[in-house]
Amino acid sequence: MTQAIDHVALLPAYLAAGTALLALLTDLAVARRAATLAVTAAGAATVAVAAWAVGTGPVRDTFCLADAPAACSFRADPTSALVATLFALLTLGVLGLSGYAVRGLPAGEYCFLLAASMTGGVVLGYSRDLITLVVALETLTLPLYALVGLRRRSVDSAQGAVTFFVVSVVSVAVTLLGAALLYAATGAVHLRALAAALADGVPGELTTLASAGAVLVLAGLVFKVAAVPFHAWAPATYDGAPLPIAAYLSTTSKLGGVVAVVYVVAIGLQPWLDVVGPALAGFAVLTMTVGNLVALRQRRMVRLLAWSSVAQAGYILAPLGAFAVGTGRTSDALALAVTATIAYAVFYVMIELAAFGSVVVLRGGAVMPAVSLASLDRSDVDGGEIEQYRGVARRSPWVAAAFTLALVGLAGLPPGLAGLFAKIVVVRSLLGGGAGWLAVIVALNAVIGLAYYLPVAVRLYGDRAAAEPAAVPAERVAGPGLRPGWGAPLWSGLALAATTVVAIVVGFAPQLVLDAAALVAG
Amino acid sequence: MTAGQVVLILTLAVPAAGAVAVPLLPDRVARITGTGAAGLTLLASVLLYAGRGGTSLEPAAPVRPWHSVRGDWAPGLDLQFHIGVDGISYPLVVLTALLTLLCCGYLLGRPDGSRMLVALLLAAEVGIVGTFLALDLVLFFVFFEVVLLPMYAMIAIWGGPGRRAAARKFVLYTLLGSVLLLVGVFVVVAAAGTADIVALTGGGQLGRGTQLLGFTFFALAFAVKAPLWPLHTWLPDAHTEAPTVGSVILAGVLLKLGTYGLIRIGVGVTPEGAAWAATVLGTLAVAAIVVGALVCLAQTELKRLIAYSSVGHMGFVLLGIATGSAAGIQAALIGNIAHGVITGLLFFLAGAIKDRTGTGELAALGGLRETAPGLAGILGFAAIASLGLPGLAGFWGEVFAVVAAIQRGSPGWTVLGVVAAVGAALTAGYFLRLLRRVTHGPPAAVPVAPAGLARIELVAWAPLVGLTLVIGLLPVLVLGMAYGPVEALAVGVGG
Amino acid sequence: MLLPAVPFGAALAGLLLPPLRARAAAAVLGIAGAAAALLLACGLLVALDQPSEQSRQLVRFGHLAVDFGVRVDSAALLVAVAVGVVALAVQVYSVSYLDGDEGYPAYAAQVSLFTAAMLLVVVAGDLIVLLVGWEVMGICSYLLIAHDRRLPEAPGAAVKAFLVTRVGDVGFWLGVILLGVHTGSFRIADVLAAVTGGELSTATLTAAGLLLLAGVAGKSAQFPLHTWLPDAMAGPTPISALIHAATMVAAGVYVVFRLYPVFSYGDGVLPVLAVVAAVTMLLGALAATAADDIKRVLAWSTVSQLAYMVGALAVGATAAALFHLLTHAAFKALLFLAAGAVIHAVGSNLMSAMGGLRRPMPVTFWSMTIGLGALVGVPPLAGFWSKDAILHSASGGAGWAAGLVFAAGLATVVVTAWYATRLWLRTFFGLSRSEATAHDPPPLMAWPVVALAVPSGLLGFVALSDGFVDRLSTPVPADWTGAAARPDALPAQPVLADQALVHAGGFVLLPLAAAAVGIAAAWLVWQRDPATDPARALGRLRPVFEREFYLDGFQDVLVVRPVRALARAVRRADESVVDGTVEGTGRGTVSLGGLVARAHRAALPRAVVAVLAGALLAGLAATLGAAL
Repeated sequence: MTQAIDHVALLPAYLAAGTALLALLTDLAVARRAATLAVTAAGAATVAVAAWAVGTGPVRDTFCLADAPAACSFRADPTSALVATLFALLTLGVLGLSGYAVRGLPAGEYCFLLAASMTGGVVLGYSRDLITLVVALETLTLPLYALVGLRRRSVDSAQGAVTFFVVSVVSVAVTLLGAALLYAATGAVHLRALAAALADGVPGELTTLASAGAVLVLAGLVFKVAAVPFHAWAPATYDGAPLPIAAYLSTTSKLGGVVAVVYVVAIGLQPWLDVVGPALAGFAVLTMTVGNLVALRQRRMVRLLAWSSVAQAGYILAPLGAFAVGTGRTSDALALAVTATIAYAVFYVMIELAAFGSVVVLRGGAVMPAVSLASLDRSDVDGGEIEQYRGVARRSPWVAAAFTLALVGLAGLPPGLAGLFAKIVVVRSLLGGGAGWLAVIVALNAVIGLAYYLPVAVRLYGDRAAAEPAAVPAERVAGPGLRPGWGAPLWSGLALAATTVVAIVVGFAPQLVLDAAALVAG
Repeated sequence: MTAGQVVLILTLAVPAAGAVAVPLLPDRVARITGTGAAGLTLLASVLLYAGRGGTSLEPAAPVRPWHSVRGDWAPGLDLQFHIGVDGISYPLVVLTALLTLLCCGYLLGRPDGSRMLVALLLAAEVGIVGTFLALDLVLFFVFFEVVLLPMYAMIAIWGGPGRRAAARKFVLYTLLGSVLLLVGVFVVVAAAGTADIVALTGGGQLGRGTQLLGFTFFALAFAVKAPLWPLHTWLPDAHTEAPTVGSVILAGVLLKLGTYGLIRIGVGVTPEGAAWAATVLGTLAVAAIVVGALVCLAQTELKRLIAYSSVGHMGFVLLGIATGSAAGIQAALIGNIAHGVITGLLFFLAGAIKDRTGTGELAALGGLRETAPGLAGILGFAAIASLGLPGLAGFWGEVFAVVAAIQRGSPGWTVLGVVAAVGAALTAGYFLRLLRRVTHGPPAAVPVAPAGLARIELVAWAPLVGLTLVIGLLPVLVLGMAYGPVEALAVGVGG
Repeated sequence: MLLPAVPFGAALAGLLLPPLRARAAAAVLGIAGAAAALLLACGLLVALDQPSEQSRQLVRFGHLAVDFGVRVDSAALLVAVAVGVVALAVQVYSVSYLDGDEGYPAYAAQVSLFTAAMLLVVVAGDLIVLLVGWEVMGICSYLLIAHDRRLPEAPGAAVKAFLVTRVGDVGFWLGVILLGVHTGSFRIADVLAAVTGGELSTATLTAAGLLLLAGVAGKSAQFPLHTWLPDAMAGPTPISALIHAATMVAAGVYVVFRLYPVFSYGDGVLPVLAVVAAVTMLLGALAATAADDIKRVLAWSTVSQLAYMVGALAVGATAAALFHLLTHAAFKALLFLAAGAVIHAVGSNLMSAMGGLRRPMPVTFWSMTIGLGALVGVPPLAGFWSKDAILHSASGGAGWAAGLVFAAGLATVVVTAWYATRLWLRTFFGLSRSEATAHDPPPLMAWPVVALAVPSGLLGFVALSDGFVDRLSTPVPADWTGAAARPDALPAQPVLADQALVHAGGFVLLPLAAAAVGIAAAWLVWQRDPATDPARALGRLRPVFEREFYLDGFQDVLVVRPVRALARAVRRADESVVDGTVEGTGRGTVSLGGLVARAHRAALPRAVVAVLAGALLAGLAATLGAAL
């Protein structure tokens, strides 16, 4: 069986992989952090440009089955281009935030692993069969185990990495089991072939097997988006990881999961939406509710963001939950739901990146120089307690403003217009799909969400006592770990600024995101 | 683009620009700039009256804005930037602009650096005015949400000792209302395929089921905002803790978002739903009147008392809306405006009293007419206006809400009207009790300083006093422009 | 239309005056306002031969229009003149009476506003406009009664006055609304046309009539809403004169007069009115017999005299009612202003502190004598004529209601004579019981008193003049609407009683004899021991009368306390139940969050188990779902 390979379609993947190699080589050859970072960043930017450029061209399929030309493993279409570009840009953003972080970390490994993960993400965008999908997803995830554990001498870091690893392995096993069951029932791994097989009808005795397979595949995939009940790893892992990596986990890794779920559901399992619909609805409801409830009780900043990102995963999945009702399974409603999921995911990753970026900048970088590490309190090297952020707005007004905007955006309120529109998108698609009850649950959860986002934002501005002349200098009140915002490296600040500006722009022009997301559905 | 359209956009753009600019400027300049922006907004809003279309009395198209601007914003969300002003929204827009200006002006005279407060006022103004102007359901929702956070920040940062809890309660409760609004909006939009209020008004495009469902969500959302008993409990806390200007805006215009929404969207877009729920709404409104009055009778804190009085007054407004008749809706409109003016004034005064004496406890106050005669005089005026004295602004809304209820004719509505009238008598009871405690009697132990009125206070309050009188004598100023639109709405409900 | 506007303008200007050094200006404004209103009313009375009506639409609610409408006819103008005279007298008198009071400018303005409101009621051509004047009067009374800051009971009395009348006003509101809704217009002319045209069902009319009656009872201090009036004595004396003579209390009677068809066409409204009048008449008179406070005696006498007017209305003698309103306005204003002079001189309200003032205060004495004589009905003083007209009408009326009014009226004459004599003797005769050296008041106070003595003495003769009855007669709807009356549309209704005001014949002797009995009885008791109160003759009834039949207590127990208790209960319920639910939801959510969070504080193995269990469950659910 020979296959014609379209190398143009593969170009972004090549470039991504090349970036990873180049990062390693640069580190070996130049051994300067700045150079390594710059090369990686340039590589990520190139990937983004290439993916976009390829995406504007004609649709290119490759690695197709000889006997069934529709069943291809790799497809370069606007959807793929969008996903690949997003991954590259997010990586770029995280790299920007890492400017300070890598001082305490081995820059070569850091950049290599990040680029490798990006490669997984890029490939994911193009993959159209279950096996490629899982492989790409693992490529995306595997480097992260290492990255999470990169913070030396940190027990939390190691613990986070181990938790992440073990749970991840289990979930991959679940996915593969599901894929195997589906293959057993239908004989197809390519998503389109699978859809065709399911549409033709599965033999009666295999129906049970196939439906279990379908749900297990989903279960494994939603692990990546940290949906309940596959979420327990997220808070510990986020909190243990270096801050930029936590940001990466909560954005890029989550986006990977979303894309995988959407591909599998909207393409492969489309004829069986009635089977996966209730499962998705269940995941969505559980995820947002549990995430929000637990987030109410968090004291540590990163844990709060982690739990909030669990809740957000619930909103992301919610539009797909409309498949649980009959009116949600029409082709119009399907397009609406997929658009909404992708659009919400895009809005979300931008805001989440801005939120983590603000934390990075406010904390003055995740990792201190190794020499001073021992002398510093534990809180210096991570997100710290929320209480420690009290009054930072006085010293870093701009960063605090960006953080507030991000928090409010996550809560889905103006002036975080991007978040507001994200919420509107979800509710609109749910009602368009006839799942009004799910919309009400989303709405109620939004209220709980605000209950923990707002106090954080208020703390940034709070503490009028410190403003009075007799009070203790703010520096001492806040503890030694909090560096003034402008003390953070220029690049982190720039990355944050860029992210915030993008979030504001799409807040005023949400149609950009909606149009892009509609590509996926179309 | 016509001059009217330019002015329309300016009423939103000027405060928005002000809200952005004020935090960037040094305090004194910022406050002056903010006040200037608020002034320009008022000017723009007043100018909207010029060049309006004929105010024909014939019920023609249900919504016929004098000026409107329409442009695509996000078609993927059914979101159009479609704003316009007509006889129903115009008085509310002007009231908002006026109260914001007065609040900004009032802050000019305060010694401390309160430029952020000015910025928040302007931001809230954008949201409130935007909500009144919006002619697109989704846009309405967006503006509705814009108001939330500035108001929250005002309470949470500049409020009294219990501000945190009060602000949290306010924001979560009202967010609950607005997310339900979002659901309601898309119930309607999903069924009708458009979010254009002009096209939707009259409910012709919606089936009965959709209207009932949509109205249920709308009613819940707006009932929280208005607030309608028993969804009112955020209000007393928020008012008690909010800074003076916060209370003024909160009572003066924020609550009107709920009643306006109920008129424009509840009655306008889902008239069958409104007709269906009229009895429930009316009963709750009357319950609000009576409960509000009774709670006030047993209330011991000044601002809390005024806050609960708002519950009662908004009960009259909601009763008017519930009847669904032209008379009722008109009563609601003028009740809205009157409450905004009078309660705004009352909160200014309560703030002034608390500033001067350091307490809002009725038991600790007394003899204000000895110690601060000017203040006591204006307080007396405001209280009398608020209890619905004929000839002052508060009268028309109350009496014609009762008229509208009795006009419905059925025994149930008659009973509602009678109970509402009794509630009005109770209102007199608690306001007189308030005056007796605060202004009459022997001077209290707490010092009152300063005794006189600052010039800035006079400037801020005089327009409200004047309006109370003018609207009371010439209610047609508010209602004259609303005859046509209101009758068109009432036709939809069949009331 | 200008009539109420003039004093209103004066009031507005007065309220805006800077509080200091504005005394003179305030006085000028107040007096000028009242004088202008009086002149205007007199001018119109002379010039106007036809009723005139003007209106302008104020606003429209749905199809119900509210007009700012005024209707001026001779009856209205006569009342307006009375209002103007009393208001002018009070304004002039107050300048001196409130000498040295800081609050004078506001006071003067409020009196102007009060006058304006009353005039508005008098000339109103629209029910809503009437309501405006009606309620503004209420609030003015509230403000003015609370004026005296040295009296601790003043604010309470003011609140009581406003609230009690407001309770009645709820009925008035509803009555007005009922009429407006059922006739489709608030214009009085339209309403009356609809009423007489038989457009309204009797039930509606009865309901509206009774509801309006509640308001009338409140304003005109009729049982059971009369309790505010005696307490209202806490206000400055000129205000008492104003309230009792020309404004406020007269408004209720006037409104019944103005809307008479509503009451007469309703079923059973007039009998209710008659019962109320009879009860109030006696109740007021008896309470006056034991009161020691001179103003309180006069106040109770007002209650009782108002009941005469109401009784007259109940038997259909509308002209007599209005006539009594006018004469009463004159002599009651005189009595109060003179009493004010006495109080001013003695420094106390209590008659037990007075006595023997005849010599040091001759002007006051003679004025007061005229006033009391008029009150008792001594011919030829004003009160004689009007009271006689009422009693005569009642005696000629058919049915038990007229009989009741007549009997009560006659009995009240006796009691009135008794307490009036008691007051006269206790105040001006016997030995002085006060240390202060009393003297006649300063000119600004004396003039109004003397001026008012003239109509108190002579007003009765007007009744002899031609056409006076016509001027006072009830408005005939045809005359209002300009359309021809449709006699066929008039259902058989109690025909108006004999409207003639003057009767020759033996009948006049009956009330005269009654009065003589009362005077003689009081004189005899007093003469036995001039130093003590003749009220001692009341024996065991004295405390009952003194405590005013304990009605305040009943009111307290039946209304005030339950409402207060209810308010407290509602507040508690609102805070603990309604708000408690909200807070509870919040707390519940947070603690639920805590529970869920605790479940997550698990080590790695449990996390893995959770994942596997979740996958298993999901798979199982899907399998089962597919199997079903």
